[in-house]
Amino acid sequence: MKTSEFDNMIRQALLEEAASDDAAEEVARGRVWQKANPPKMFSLTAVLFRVAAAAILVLLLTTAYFMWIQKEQPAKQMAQKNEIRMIANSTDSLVKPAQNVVFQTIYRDRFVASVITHDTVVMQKTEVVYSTAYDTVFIEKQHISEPLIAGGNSHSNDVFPIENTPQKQVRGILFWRTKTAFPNNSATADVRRDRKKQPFTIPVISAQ
Amino acid sequence: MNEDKLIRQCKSGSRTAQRELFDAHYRTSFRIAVRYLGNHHDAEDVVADAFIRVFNGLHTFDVRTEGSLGRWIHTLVINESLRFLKRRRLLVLEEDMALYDDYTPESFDASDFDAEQIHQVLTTMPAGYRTVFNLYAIEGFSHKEIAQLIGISETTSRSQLCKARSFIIQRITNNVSHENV
Repeated sequence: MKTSEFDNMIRQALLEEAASDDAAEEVARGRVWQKANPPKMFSLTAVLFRVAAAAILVLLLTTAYFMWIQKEQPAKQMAQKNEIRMIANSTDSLVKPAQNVVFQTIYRDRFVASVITHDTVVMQKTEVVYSTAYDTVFIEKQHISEPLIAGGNSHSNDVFPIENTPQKQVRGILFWRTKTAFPNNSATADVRRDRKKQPFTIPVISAQ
Repeated sequence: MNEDKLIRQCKSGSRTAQRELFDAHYRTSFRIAVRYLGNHHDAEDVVADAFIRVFNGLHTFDVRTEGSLGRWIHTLVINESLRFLKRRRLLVLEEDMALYDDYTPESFDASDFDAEQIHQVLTTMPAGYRTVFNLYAIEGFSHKEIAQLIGISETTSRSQLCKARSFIIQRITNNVSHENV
């Protein structure tokens, strides 16, 4: 017999033998599968898709969070003030709405109001300077970005008790509130434009 | 499921598809490993390692023709078997030719041949003979390729093959003689 025939015969014999069942081989099947423990595979496309989806999800969640924060923040501030009640030009208000008082708020024993909101256009001009007087008025806030100017100094907390310095110059939209527990439950604010020497508004605010 | 679809599902991480691929090729892979290693225990480890390589390397596999996946897996099993033999230093090349001088294919009587017997003989054969015989006679590698695969000379490969043939013939012949006695 030639060596090539011999080799071929052996090959055929092994193929025949391979077709027969082997119990040990089948027993080992489960163990081998466990050992192989195929790892979870990811294609590059699938990985990129998942990363992109995660990024979009994070973006959406972040946007939603900031929107929620912005919406929630004023509500928290309001809650801290304990039931602030807005009475906008209401006729049955405890305080009669003064002329040019745009909104007024009862907050505990204080009266908070804003005026001359209608004058926004005028006040946005830098040459318009207002002065306020009367000791029962606090200048509380302004709605424009530039700082309040009070007696030539800017203050960080935007609150200017004026009883000691009756003459204040404030540029911007004026908000004020009455002094806490004012003696006669009334407050008067005089706001005028200095430069034009023209009385602007003298809202008389009183709580009865 | 056809091969292409099975591969795509395996690549996408489907555990079921991976198991299906494993089951489809396990038996042949195991037989190949036993043929190279001579025992079931080592074959289990080698086949497991080979399938780890299959699953890790599947994304690089390019389906060209039907059945090419099987050939690729079987190649991985053979390579893993050779790696195992080298790692365990089992690939000892026997040089004692005189033992088998009288047993050549030319003198072999094919009537003595039993298909089941040959498998048993292969498992008892020295690893060097078995490896070269498997690579040459079963897989169809040339001596040059075998020399590169297992790091021996072509002459050594040829001599190992001759000894392997003689070993098989001697064992079969002797076994038959014993049975007749």
